[in-house]
Amino acid sequence: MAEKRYRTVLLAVSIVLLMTFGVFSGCRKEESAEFTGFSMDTVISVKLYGGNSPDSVLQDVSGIFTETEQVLSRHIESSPVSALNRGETVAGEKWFITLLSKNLYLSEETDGLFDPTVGPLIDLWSIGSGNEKVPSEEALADALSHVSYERVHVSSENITIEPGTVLDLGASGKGAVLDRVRDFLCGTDTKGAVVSAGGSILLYGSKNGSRDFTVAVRLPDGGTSDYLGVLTLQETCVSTSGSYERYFTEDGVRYHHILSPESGFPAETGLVSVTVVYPDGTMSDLLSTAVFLLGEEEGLKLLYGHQAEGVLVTEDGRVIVTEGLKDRFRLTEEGYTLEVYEGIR
Amino acid sequence: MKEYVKRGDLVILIGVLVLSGLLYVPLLFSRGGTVAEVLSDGEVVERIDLDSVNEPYTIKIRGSVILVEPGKIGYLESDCPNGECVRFGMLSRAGAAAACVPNRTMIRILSANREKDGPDAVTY
Repeated sequence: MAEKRYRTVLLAVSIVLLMTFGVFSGCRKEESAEFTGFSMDTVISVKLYGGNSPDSVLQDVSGIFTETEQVLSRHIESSPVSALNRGETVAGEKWFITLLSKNLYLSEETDGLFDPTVGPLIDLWSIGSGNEKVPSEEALADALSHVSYERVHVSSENITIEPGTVLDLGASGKGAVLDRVRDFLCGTDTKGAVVSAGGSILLYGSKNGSRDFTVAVRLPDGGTSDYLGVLTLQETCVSTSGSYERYFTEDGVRYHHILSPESGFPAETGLVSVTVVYPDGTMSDLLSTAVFLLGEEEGLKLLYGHQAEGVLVTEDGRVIVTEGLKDRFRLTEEGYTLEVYEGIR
Repeated sequence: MKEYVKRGDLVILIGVLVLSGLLYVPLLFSRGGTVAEVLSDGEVVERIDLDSVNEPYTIKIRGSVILVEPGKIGYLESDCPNGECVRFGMLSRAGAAAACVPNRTMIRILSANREKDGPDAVTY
């Protein structure tokens, strides 16, 4: 008799244990580590999943950000970019040479509509400094006379730029650091990561056993709580260029920070924001800026040519997604119409 | 009739089942609960349960004034040159964040069930 009772209790305890595991296995989390900070003039956030020593990996990732900023910033005197802008010849590391080559490649492809030597133009407008003003025509003409990607010379070892040219890698620096972080993570036992540098994002590996990550696209002119829609993506990079991100208003006119090397003025192409999804962070960053500068039609062709995916938002309230994202993008904001770009037919 | 399970055993079994069921209760109520964090130089300096805020108040941190309202938080004013942090507006949804890069401060919204509620990242 006592044995029977004992068995019943044993059974009951087993049920409790099973149910407890059932409840908690559903939300079992991999070892993870998180870091938020400031680097490269923006907010950086690193989330790591899995691996045996996420805290030490996190420190190394943070180090990559610092190191990359020391190379790319033109406000740090000792940086190679500052040295180039002073007219010195620089023997760059491989990743730096690759970054410059990608910049020049896209400049050539867009006939100079995208140009990494817009430094003088950026300085003239100084949008975001608090001292912004619309420049005079003479000042604009002078700044534009110094803008030309053809004055940057990159060999497999050395980089030189012609006098008066000012290199500004702001349009691709965040993507470049993401590429460096991904290359570093590949050599660790980290299972997954979500790394953002401002609005540029690296999705790596998997999170708690799932390869799907969600990335919200911010609503143009909305607060940060307002999303236009959500992308569900696997291992890739995401970058956005938007006219709502950094701007100033003068005499009722809004001037945003994406400057056209053609007019010297903020690019007015009918686009409000361009989000690009591409495995390479540098290219993803570069393409988002280039598509914004090119406008809807040429921009979509550029994406198609690179087999890149994108979400374009137009001033007239259309959201255009490339075919590869049509099942991966969910529009959550009302008042927009969704269109799918099927490529060049 | 032969008794396979005694009445006493049945009571224990049912009692245990009810107790196991109770394990699920916290999970049912763990959704909701909007928590905001205020960060200075990457370190969390304040954690606020926005749902339990009844009266608006402000927090001063590194040249910025942060406004806390029921369910909402945002930069009210700042001495930074561009004022971009103020332009972020009031945040209320999980995953939302605003930063004052020149002052190296940040506010962000978590939630009790962050993995489910918020996206992994926001592109802008």
